[in-house]
Amino acid sequence: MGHLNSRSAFSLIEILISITLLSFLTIGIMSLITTAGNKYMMLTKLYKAKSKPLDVFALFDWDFSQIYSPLYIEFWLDTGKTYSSGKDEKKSSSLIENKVQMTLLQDSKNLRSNLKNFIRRTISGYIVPNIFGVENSKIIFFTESHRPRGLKDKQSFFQWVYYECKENKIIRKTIVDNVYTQNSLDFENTKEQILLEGLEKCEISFWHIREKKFLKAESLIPPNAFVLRAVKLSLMYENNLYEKIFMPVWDKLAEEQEKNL
Amino acid sequence: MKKGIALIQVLASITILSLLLTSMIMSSQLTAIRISLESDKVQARENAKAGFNLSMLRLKIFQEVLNSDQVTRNEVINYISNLWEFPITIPLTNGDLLGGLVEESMKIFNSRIILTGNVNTSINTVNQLSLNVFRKVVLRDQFAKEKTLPFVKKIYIDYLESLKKEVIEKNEKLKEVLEKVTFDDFIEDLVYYTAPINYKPEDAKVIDRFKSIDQKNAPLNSLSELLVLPSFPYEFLDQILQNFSVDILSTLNFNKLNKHMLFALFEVPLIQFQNIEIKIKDNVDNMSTRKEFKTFLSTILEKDINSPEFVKKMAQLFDAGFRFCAYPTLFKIISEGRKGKGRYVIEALVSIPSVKLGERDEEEYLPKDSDQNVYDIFNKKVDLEVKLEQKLFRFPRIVDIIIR
Repeated sequence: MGHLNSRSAFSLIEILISITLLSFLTIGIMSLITTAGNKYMMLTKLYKAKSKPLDVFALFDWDFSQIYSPLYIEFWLDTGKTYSSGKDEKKSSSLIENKVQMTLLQDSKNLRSNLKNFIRRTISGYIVPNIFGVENSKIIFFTESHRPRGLKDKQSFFQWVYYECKENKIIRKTIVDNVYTQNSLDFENTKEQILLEGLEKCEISFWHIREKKFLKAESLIPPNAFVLRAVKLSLMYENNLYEKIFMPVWDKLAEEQEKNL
Repeated sequence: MKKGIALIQVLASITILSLLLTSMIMSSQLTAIRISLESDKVQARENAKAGFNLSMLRLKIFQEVLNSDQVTRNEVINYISNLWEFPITIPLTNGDLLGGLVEESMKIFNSRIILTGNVNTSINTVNQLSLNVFRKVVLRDQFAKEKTLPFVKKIYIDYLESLKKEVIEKNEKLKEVLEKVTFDDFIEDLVYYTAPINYKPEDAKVIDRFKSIDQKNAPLNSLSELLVLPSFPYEFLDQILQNFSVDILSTLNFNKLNKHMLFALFEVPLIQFQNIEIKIKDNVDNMSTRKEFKTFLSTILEKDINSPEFVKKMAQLFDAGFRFCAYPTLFKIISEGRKGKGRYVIEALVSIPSVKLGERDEEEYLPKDSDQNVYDIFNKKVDLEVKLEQKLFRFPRIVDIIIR
């Protein structure tokens, strides 16, 4: 025993066994690290590439899904149409009716000259927001997607939203104060938010009701141009193409309107 | 002394490597979760939309029944109570409690539906005063001999004051804050904001208040628009959101009028409320015609329904645009879609404009020898002339949608 205790080193067999055991352990750990590392690298790359366009889509979706126009509820007031009285109407009633009709038309006429951002009225008097700058790379629309931070900000849920693809980036601007302004919307002096840079392609296309496909903006004619059913946003980022279709939550009546066009 | 150091070194390196490994695995798992969350959100939204569409369909069925000549009013009321007085949850639940054939049917239904996640949708009837009545009144007053605007303003201020009184009674802590709140300026602001372009307010201070904000000159689209009014009573926000709507039709279900509405619309004295509530309870859903409603009013007001005073009151309300009927016409749909951790809620106010509703017994309220039914003529002409629009009136009409 005393001889064994006085040994200053391990025997060759002991070292060989320990090396073998350690190598098994190392192989196991290394394979785990390699698998996890590969998975990590793959997912990180995938997420980094996808998350940025996905973030843009999420924001656009929030705005566009809540796009607002009373044309999703009812038809506009046809100012060229005469609202003649029925056969059984009394003369006195007709006179009043004419006065009402005149007032409505006058209201609508005033609207056209005063408000630049709303194009006309519906039969219940709602004002129809314009959809500005419908181009392949730009869109400005009226949406109910704003949530004011404080009650005393004098802001409602409505806002004007501006999206534009320019110089390999996509930007967003909003106007949340005094949305029914009688002046033109001043996006020139509005702070821009850069949503994504380094885009190889950025394009907006619009669902055409009659053609039943996504077309370029110039093919849109009223009322298609004021009741958007769907918009497709195409982004090319890091050699990958990302496309998503966006639809408003108000799409029930729009379907009915389509049938009657 | 240094004999055991190698073992410690090996153990330490294994620990460090394990920590590194764990953190890498966790990080990659987190990334995977974030990606799956995106798809969950999309699925949750589609589920909520599906629930909303289902609710709209239920209301459409109700509207068809309401407009049908084949059924009586009581049958309608019985039908509707079966139709929406329960929320729908898909996949169907509680089948195990019912047992037998029902449980089996639910299982078959759940297995056949194409739905990933969960949908919960409910429809509640609401009876709220519309804030869009003022614009029509201003329009009407431009041709009428007797102006209706002061009468309508008084109704709304009385209604708000009555609500305020109840809030203070229930919560003494709010007394100090709410007692200072007045509603006159708020109503003036609302009238000015929504009125036609050529409207000139009697009180010039209103125009001063609108220096930093332009008029809308159109009906409200959402209650949130009230927040932009200079004199909006923020202290009373919740009560305003719960008790008013932005519907364009301003039709009220007389079976569901609350005491505040009775006070504001018909000047039923506050002291009578307790007795009236008992009477209302006895008459719930029993009044099916406007004649019965008028008889009910004459009883609680202790007035003859043919007295000039009473007839004038009803005519004034009619001219102001208020309509009364036996059924609910305004509904709140709440549809919640879920998938994993994704959640999407659609809250919508929907009205059902019934074409036949106005044709049944409206004549009762038409004031005799009156040429002032501008409001009525305006509505009828536009509705009848535009056939396309009339067709659309057969569908439930979304007043507002809010995404939560």
